[in-house]
Amino acid sequence: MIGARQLAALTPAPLPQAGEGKFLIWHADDPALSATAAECASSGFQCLDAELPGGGWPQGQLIELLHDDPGIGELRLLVPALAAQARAGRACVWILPCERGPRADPLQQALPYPPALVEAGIDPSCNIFVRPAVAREAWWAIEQSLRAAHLGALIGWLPSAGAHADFRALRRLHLLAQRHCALVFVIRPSLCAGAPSPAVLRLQLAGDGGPHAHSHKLAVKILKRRGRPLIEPVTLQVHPERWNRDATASLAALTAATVKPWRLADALTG
Amino acid sequence: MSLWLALCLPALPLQLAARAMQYTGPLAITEGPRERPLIAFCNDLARAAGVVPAMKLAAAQALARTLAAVPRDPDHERDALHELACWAYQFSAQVTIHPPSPLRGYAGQGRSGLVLETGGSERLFGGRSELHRRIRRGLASLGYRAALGYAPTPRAAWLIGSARASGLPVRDVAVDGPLHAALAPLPLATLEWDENTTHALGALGLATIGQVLGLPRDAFARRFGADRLDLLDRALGLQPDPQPAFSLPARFFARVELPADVTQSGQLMFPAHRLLRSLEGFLRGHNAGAAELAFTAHHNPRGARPVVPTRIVLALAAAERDAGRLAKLLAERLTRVSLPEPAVELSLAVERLAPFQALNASLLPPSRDSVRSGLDWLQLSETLHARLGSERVFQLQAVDDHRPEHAIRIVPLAAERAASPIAPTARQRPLLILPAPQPLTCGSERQRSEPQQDELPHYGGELVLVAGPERIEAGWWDCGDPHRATVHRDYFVARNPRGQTLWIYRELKQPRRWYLHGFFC
Repeated sequence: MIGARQLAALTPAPLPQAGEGKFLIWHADDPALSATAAECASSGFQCLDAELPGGGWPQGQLIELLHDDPGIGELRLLVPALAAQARAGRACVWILPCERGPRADPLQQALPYPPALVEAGIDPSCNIFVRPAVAREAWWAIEQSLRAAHLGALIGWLPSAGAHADFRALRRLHLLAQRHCALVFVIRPSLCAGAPSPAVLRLQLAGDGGPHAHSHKLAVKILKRRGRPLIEPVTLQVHPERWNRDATASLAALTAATVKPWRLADALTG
Repeated sequence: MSLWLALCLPALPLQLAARAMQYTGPLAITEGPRERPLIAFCNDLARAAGVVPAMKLAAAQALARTLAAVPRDPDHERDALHELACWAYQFSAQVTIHPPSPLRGYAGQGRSGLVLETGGSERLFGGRSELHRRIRRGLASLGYRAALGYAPTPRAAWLIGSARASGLPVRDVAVDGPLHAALAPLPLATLEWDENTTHALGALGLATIGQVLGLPRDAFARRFGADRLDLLDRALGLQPDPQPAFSLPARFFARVELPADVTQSGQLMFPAHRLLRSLEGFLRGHNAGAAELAFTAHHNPRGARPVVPTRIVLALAAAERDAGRLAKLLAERLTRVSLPEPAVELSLAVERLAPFQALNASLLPPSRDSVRSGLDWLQLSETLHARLGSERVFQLQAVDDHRPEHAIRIVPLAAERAASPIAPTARQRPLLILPAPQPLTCGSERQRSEPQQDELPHYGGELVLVAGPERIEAGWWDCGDPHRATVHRDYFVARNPRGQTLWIYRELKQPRRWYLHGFFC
């Protein structure tokens, strides 16, 4: 029989915290300590960094971003990390949306706008852009790009092709991504959220309505991450703050103060 | 002192036919007039059945039922030797084709090949045995069987190589070695003199070269001719023996016959490998690289109409030389090619050579963070180019123009990275732009033909403006160009209930339509 005093003497020592043997013990409840990738690149948003395992985007792992409508701020979410890679001088490959798809999609012709890239801090000369014709070429191009060493980041738009085929193809990409330490972002439609995926980090993006009927912020729902699941989405302000106005402005009010079209005849007559 | 290496290819026509056909039965090469073809060369299986050279083809076919007879093609042999000399140029600067003219007559023992001067290249390739091993391996990969022999003089090297090809035990001679002693036991047949002379010498009781060398010189010259004595002197090194040097042509052309009709483009990879290895030797000899490779697949003429050959051009971003790398790019390229007819021959032509920059290896081990983006950037761009085509892989440049659709320039991939000349501005611009703006419809347009003054368009719901207007009126200086029209627009940033932030504009001139130009992704 063990007495109370002896029981008290048997208390186990506390687990080592961050700093000592950080990767020897996996802490399931603390996202910051449950990182498996040794390197993480900061996402640029503090509230998101707090929820991501390792404190940022994991390098050398497949990251999935799921959303339906373009223009909610999915690229602005990635811009700080891409700018950091560009400052380090590493190349970035963009696999643009396929030219031919089952539905007419405005993104089929869309191109990244270089002045906007420059403004975001990404040098356009460090980037390669690929416009595949069909989905098969998109998968192939991503695979080839992942084989290149010293790649900084890869952003690829991938259509959905059925849950089973997608899982196998994504697992191949994930294994290739693990060879090097690049940031690999794969953008897929929302309906893939239910299908299983080998990516270590899956985020679902949507516009957050806010108190008004119009979206101002980006709601990031973490569907899958290492560690304990996240119930509530993280809301991020990716667009400029000044656009969050009341949004009751009408066209007339906005154009009321515009300058009249300049006419030579008017200018000459004074 | 120089050391010469002879590559002796026994029965070259037979080797070429076996290489092309991949036939494993009795094989013979026929020569002579078309009505009475005679056997010139036959392989071991045919010889085992009783076929000998100078036999009639009909008799040979009676002896060996499954004999495959291929007519002799001197042009093909000359081309093959030429291609081999181009390949061998990477090992030596002095290459000679032996014999200079194609063999005539029923040369049952006839040999052709190359003689290279390798004494000067030994140090570069890491020693004599290493160099010879590389040459042997290269010949095997090209599909040839050769016997090597080396000696201080070219003719002696050829004699030693020729004797080794016949299966005789012969010693190679190093510089300052016993040349006379090595050549002495060789039979007279290796000298490849005509039959009368050999017969006459045999009647005199002379069987080996050593015995011929023991004869008095002036008597031999008087009886058999001064040129034969001169030949023996040159073989022993007593007379200088300048060899006609082979000059490397400026363009590369080689062809290979396909063993069976090829219908799938992927099956062209195996013969293409051989052509690429030959090309690599040629490029190493030139110390250059190739930027454009033109493969041509020839088809059988259908009846009287010749079929247009299929051209497959592999264009590279930078000059390449490595056969493995070119093969990988060609494999990607071939996935896009389909052969309309079965192909019977594949040829490769490289017209222009480009200076090749080999990669310098660093003495220090690479650190973990070293960004050696030069080589991999190039390899990745070449691989993407080869499969997708050059119009689908590009870079974007920012151009200083107020008109948004003209502020983008699509440029092909550059080998080096150039800095962007545009400084960032404070204006908010969308990250994704549509090169051709998409027209938007307002709600009332269905009732009226023209949109109302104050009405906002719809895109996935009703739009609400959050920023603007920004007026862009520019481009009047391009008035003559219909593709670069003047722009009069008011730009706004709009949001819709789905959460999308759009960049839309309205034309200032009539009709004042709304357009979608970009997404603030």
